[in-house]
Amino acid sequence: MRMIVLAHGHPELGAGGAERAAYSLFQRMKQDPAIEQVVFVARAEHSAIGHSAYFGSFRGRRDEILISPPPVDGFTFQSLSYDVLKQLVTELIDTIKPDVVHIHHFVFWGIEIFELFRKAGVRVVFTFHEYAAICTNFGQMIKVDGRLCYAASPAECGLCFPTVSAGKFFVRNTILKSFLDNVDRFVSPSEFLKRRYVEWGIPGERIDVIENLLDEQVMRRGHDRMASVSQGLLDDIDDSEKTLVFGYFGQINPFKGIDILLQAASMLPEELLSRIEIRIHGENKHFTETEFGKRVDELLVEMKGVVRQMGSYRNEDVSDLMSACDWIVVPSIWWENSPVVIQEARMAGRPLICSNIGGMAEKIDKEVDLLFPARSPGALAELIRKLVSRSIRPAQSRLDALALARAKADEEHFSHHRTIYEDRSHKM
Amino acid sequence: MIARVDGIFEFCAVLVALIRVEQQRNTPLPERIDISQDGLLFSMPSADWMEVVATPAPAPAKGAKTAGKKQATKLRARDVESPQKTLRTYLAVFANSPATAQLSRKQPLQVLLQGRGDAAFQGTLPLTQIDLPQLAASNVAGLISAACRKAGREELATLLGASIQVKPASAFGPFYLDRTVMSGSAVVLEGWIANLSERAIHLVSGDLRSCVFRSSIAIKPRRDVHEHLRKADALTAASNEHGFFAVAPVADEESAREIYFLEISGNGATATFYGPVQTNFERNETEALNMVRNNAGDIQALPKEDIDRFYRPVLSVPKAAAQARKFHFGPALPSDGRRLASIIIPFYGDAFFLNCVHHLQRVLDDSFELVIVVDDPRIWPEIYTGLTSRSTSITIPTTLLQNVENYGYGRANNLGFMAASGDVLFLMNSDIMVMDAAPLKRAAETIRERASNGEPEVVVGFSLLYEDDTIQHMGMSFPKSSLVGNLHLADHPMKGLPFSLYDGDLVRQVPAVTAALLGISSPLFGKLGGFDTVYERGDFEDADLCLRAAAMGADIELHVSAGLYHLERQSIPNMGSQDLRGMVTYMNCVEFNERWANRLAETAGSGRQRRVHRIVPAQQKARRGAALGSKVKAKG
Repeated sequence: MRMIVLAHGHPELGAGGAERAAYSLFQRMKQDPAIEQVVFVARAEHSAIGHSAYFGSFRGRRDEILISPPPVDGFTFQSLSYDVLKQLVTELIDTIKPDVVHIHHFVFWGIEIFELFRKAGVRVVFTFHEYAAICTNFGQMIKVDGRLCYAASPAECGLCFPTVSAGKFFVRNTILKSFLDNVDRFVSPSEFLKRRYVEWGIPGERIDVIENLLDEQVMRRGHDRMASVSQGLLDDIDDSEKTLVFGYFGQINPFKGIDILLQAASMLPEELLSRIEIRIHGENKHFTETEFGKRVDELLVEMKGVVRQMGSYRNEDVSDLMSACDWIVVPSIWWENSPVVIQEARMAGRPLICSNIGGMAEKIDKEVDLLFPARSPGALAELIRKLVSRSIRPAQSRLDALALARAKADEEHFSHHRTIYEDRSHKM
Repeated sequence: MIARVDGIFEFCAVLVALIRVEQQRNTPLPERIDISQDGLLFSMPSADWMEVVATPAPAPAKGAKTAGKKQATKLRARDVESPQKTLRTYLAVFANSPATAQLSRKQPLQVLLQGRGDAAFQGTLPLTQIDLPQLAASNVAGLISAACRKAGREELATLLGASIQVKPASAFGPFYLDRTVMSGSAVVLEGWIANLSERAIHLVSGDLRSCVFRSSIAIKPRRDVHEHLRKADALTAASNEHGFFAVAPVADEESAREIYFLEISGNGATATFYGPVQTNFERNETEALNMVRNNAGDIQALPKEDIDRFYRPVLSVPKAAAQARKFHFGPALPSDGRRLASIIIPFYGDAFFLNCVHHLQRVLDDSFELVIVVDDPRIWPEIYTGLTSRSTSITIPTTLLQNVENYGYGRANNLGFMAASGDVLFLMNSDIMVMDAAPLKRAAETIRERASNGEPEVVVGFSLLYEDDTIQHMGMSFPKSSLVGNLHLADHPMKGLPFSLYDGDLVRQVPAVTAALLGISSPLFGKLGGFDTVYERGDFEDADLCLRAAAMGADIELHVSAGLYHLERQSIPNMGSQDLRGMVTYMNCVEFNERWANRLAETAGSGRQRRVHRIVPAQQKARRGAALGSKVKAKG
């Protein structure tokens, strides 16, 4: 079998969960002897290609191709230069001769790629990573005034974007759905995301729920850590007087809820503050000039006694960095899909505190993890207060068992993908 | 016999051709003259021509400045060349053809003198401006005057019957133009002229193509002017009515630049043109409408003739000849004689709905062609690049027309019709989304069956839905409404109600259907002359088209099926202010009501709509089942 894994970016050129998930799958496919060839094709800014061609290779790797397709209409995701896109996709197909293309995103590419592959006789698998087709507000299903959005309809979407008529949203939906009709099988990393797409109009029987694979380096370091645990190299001293470390991992943007965590901390009484530490792993690069950025900066100043800014981190280190925390906090204010942080925390054997919505609520383990009402700093503060004052700690044995299970799970996830790649049943 | 046409000119919406014939004794004149431009035809048999009798014209000194400008037509009477051959001059005067105003001076006229058998003369000539001093010096004015009198244009006849003089504006006496604003196809003027109440003054556009007669000029008191004139000792009238307001229809900006004041002497013997006077107009639709409203009153308070006089020129897009450039995309038209249905889609204001055209490319088969008419220079680049950049996705023969200017909905469709090659037409708004082409194919079949069976023609409308699956259109009715002064509106019954609640027939006869999506045979559309462009900017012309078709014996049918969406009126808000929109609608409504008064009284009955249900024949019942099937599918 010959394959293309197609993503909207290369994880080494810009970290995002979906790009990483696509790349992890690509890494795993390369280990599979039944896959004759697999090529990772990522969209990149033209400057990243380094010469005048539309295509280039990433760091000279023969199976990692960068491509700079023409710009895309931000509303309907149609290519602004269809003829050029068609030529590029045709060249890819003629060169790689794939049996299957696994597409991880159409943004930056153009929604027409589904049809182009399909018409060339290539089977098309598509993984949803967020709500881009449903919601024009960055695919987040958050209303422009910040409220959570439960369902899209042309008239309601028109309320978020008053200059765009309901009719235009209808046109958008029709275009996207008609192109998505070219997909043979859909993959959704969470049940929650699948439900949203089913409500939007994709038939449920065409969507398989499969968790994203983790990066091979993360897996290796995770395995190493578990090996040390079983050899008793890591002492897990139960010290109830010890400072509790709450770790935040990920991008610092308004959707990920770092401000909720900092506000919660600011509400805690002095005597509790002395017993906690908040570690922020990630950098605030893009939002410094926004209101959100300013709010975060003010909170960081206010909480400087409690918060340690750890800076950005290499992906392969995530397991070790997480192990050093007592709790991993995922305070996102949007639904999420299946946050990779949750999978990484599982692998690192750490318990989670998550917002109680969407993909986060679905992915936690009820025995060890905790939920708090999304977007409520007060509720999160109360939860932290209880954890500290009562010294609540989940059973490490359960966490280790979960870590072991997670380590094995990727094989199942991959084999599930394999059955989809080989399935020829879907006919248009 | 040698015959030729020496010149064609226009004066205050009178078209005049100057014909010279070298005649031998008793040889008959050519049969008729035909003058045409872009589908407009003016034809007159020689029996109606008028001979210019010998009144030797004084030849103007070479290089003498004339008010009539460069392309003046030389008017000469009879030249006697030999006793056997006489050179005679005739005039063909079209004194009562409102279409004259639509002729363009930028394009040549096609002229034909039809001889007894073959053409005696054939060629192209420019539409020129009359030379005022020469008009004054021949009996031509008298002839045109007679023709005008015969055509019932009394005011113009009187004017041309007088002895004509041209004087500079400085000889006119004190006057001032306070405001001159151009909008639509009019220039709106406000100002004052000393002692106006006692003078017979008309306004004539600088190119002499249009004239606002005294009877159409609103005269207003101006105390300030009265005082000023009194102090300057320039008062000859007791009344303080020196102010005036007028709406002068003009062909284009060029004709709006200058005006003449035309004053008729007390005894009617002399007509003096004073000018030309620079108007220095500005373009401003809102300002023009404010001036009209302040001077003439609200549109809803006016009788139709005042609406036509004051509001129509301001609200109308200029009606000069329409021109479009043509581009082709996708496969060539079939050469195997296969019949096509042509879908005509005008674009105005918003190029977004080109997305619906892209979608059409995916749902139509090879029995269709598309004719896209871009009636808005602002969005042309977006539409053009939108098509060129995805040329390889265009699978239906597609003609793209670039209108040179904005011509309005009706004329854009009429242009599209000229470029269409199908025997069946679908008129389609750009914001129609076709999810399923089957209803269009069925309608084309119905239209063709009627023709091949020799049955009456049929105009087919469709059930159209909003994006939330509620009804946008289910046929029109014409109830009276207090919203428009108790006139009949073109109403859409059931609008906004869920489509699933409709349980009527799937094919039924209705009084009229919307042209947002309308099927009609090409011959019928041609016979009807397309949309009547008296309706401005996309209102009422579809209802009017249906009523005219019905008057010719056609049936008006509504076909009901799921899968056709009208994302309505997204293209309207850009057309101008809400206020303007309302005025245009009202003006169209008044026109429609007047034209169809009897028919509307009939359909409206006792105030309740009469719904005509037709018994569905077996064949259609089968189709009805099919349509229901697709409805269920679309819902599921």
